[in-house]
Amino acid sequence: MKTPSENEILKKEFKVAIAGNPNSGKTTLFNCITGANQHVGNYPGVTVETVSSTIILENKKIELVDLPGIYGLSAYSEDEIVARNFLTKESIDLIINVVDASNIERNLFLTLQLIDLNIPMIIALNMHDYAKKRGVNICHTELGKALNIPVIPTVGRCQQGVEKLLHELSHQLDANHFFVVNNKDENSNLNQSLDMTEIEVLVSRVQGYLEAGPEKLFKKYTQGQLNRIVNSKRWYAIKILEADELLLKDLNINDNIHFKKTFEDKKNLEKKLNDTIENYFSDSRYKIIQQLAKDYINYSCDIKRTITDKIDKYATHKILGPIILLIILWSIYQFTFQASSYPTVLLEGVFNFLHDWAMEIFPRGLFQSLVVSGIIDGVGGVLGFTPIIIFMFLAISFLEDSGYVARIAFLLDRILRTFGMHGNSILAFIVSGGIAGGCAVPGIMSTRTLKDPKERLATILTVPFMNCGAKLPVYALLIAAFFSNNQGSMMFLLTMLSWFFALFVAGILRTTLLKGEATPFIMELPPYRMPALKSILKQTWQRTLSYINKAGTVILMASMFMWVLMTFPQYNRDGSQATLKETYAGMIGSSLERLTKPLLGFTWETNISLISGIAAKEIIVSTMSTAYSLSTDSSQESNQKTDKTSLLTQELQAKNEWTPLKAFTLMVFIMLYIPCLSVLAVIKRETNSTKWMLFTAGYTLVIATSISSLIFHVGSLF
Amino acid sequence: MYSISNSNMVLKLSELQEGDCATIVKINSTGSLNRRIRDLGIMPGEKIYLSKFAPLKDPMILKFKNFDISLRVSEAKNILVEKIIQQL
Repeated sequence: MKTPSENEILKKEFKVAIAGNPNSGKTTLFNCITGANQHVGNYPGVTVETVSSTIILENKKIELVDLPGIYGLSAYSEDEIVARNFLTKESIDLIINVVDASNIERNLFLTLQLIDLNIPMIIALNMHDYAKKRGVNICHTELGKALNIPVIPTVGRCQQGVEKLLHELSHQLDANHFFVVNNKDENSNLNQSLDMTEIEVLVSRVQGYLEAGPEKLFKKYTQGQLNRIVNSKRWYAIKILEADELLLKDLNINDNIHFKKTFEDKKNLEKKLNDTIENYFSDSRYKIIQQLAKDYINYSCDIKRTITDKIDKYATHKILGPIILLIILWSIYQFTFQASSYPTVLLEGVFNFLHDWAMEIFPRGLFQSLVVSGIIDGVGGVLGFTPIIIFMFLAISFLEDSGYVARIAFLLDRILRTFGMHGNSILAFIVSGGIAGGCAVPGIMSTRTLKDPKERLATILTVPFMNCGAKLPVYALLIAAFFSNNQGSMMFLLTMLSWFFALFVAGILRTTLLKGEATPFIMELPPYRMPALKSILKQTWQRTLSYINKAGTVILMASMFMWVLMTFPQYNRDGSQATLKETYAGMIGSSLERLTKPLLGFTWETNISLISGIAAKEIIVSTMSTAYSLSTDSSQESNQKTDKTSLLTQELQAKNEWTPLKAFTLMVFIMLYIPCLSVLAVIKRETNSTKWMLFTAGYTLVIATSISSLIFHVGSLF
Repeated sequence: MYSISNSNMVLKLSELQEGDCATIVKINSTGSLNRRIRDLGIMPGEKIYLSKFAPLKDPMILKFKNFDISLRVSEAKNILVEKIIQQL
């Protein structure tokens, strides 16, 4: 046993990582210990950034970090990379490995890799009640002795075991165990084949090089990270021999003759064994697990069919499956719009009240105009939407946590694959407005779980085509004005069109700019689970917040900016009062008319509205109503907001230049053109490049113009 | 090591029918697919049960140990299995 250095004995602050498979109940256990509410990610894995919380346990200050779920320490999607980097580079004092008892053998695969890291560990054998129901009985004390790690059975929803876990945690941290948990030495009876011995020789060699001079091999690493390499040298040595891509990027072995020789030896060994070292390690781990299972795990013959099996009989049925999917999606649509209608009306009332109140208390003039038109109307437009967004996100969260989204990916993967996409992408599209109403900002953020960067980028670039909540008011307006007899069908048509364009364009991107292999689909279908109310609420709140943030920042600025453009200059050169057409906004709109009128049938009023829509699509309606009916004077007396919208509807219907064809052209244009500033900002952030943000702005405009133009001209022929 | 049985019951996982039980014989996949398959514990010697295919015949669902795995037919082509015939 290595003795801790003096600093470490005095340490009263600790960092503890919580690691485990996805769906092992990790996050629920974390919530239980820390009392905080973190989102429980089920499929495709929603905890992307590490979440941490500090607790005080018997005079020790412990920072607990909940890591994203991983199956092993080879990293796939971004969240798996985050977990692995934390486990291999940070200075951690202890790992709590949450193991799903009902899937214990697979979960132990990760455990064995964590053991190679040589960091003190405690295993929380979670959901062991569910395991018993599935006929899995584990002799946990004996298993713990075999692994030389304490195994504490727990049930995540704050029931049994948590106290004992914490007690053990405190004990382990006190004891400052720096034991060498190395199965190779202690359980060598499990690995007697000659082949493993030859591989182990190579591993020892590389371990030697790592110990001798880690700073030369990993030039960019900090001292803390270099210490980790020495401490976890076995893991690093194995990974290097496995030619782990991430690690090789950081490794500097160009002039190193020792490494070159070792790699040659490795190649020869692989030829001799007719298999890769990587496969050998994985096989050997599973052999160890098989041995452990034989000794300490008992599978009873009497496994009752679980509820999950019963539900999946229908949910993934060839015929019933898709039907159920459509019903569920339709129900979400219904739920969202019904549940939100009352709150929406209430909110509208609030803003109308504010509008009228501001008209009264502020004297007529520029300031009143700014407050009323610029701020209240503009921001109100966004916030008025919030109920729909909230309910949509609630429904989506419920779906995710229940485990059903994995079944959706299963049912739709074949279709998505035709477009070069992955079944996993479906969630991003749905969140962005796949069911009409949603927001591309959280939608784009949810692509973090997509492994392949090209598939991820193709998803990010095409989700803006979805009918997000912001586009709905414009659609509602135009549909009410020109398609009043077919409102439902028109909305449905628009929804279908948005999916068609998104997938079609994604497919094109995947065969041209973002060409590449399809990534593995293979995934676990987690058991169905009744979502926890707290976690759904928290997730919904987080997503709604990203949406509302827009209102406080971008849209406020944008509304005020549009107001400026539409108010100034107030007077013409000849001294007369400027009409809307003669303001800056009007001038820009009019000059664009030369292009837009012949191509798309858009007049200057539409042009200004579309420009304002770049800031936020919600503003399009209010800009249009200002541009049309009540052109200049926002201080007119009977200027109630609801009146304004229906007035606008009438106004549009009355104008000869507006036809159903033009309305449809405009709706498609809005569906496809430049996404709002908030979305562009998120694209920049998530792709880490300005280039893709600008590309999105450009190519969406091109597509919107081409398609709308096509519709306009072809439609005019009839 | 594992001997591939000489019986003609060795076939690709993708060629199994719904309801078949089989033992994994060899895994020929490479790269990240290979790693992913192994991470889930699918290894020579393990038994799997083919639960069903999706409506469009792709992907498929396997029951493996205590959980359900979904994978594409193209991915299943890389896995060789030996069908288990129930003895009456």
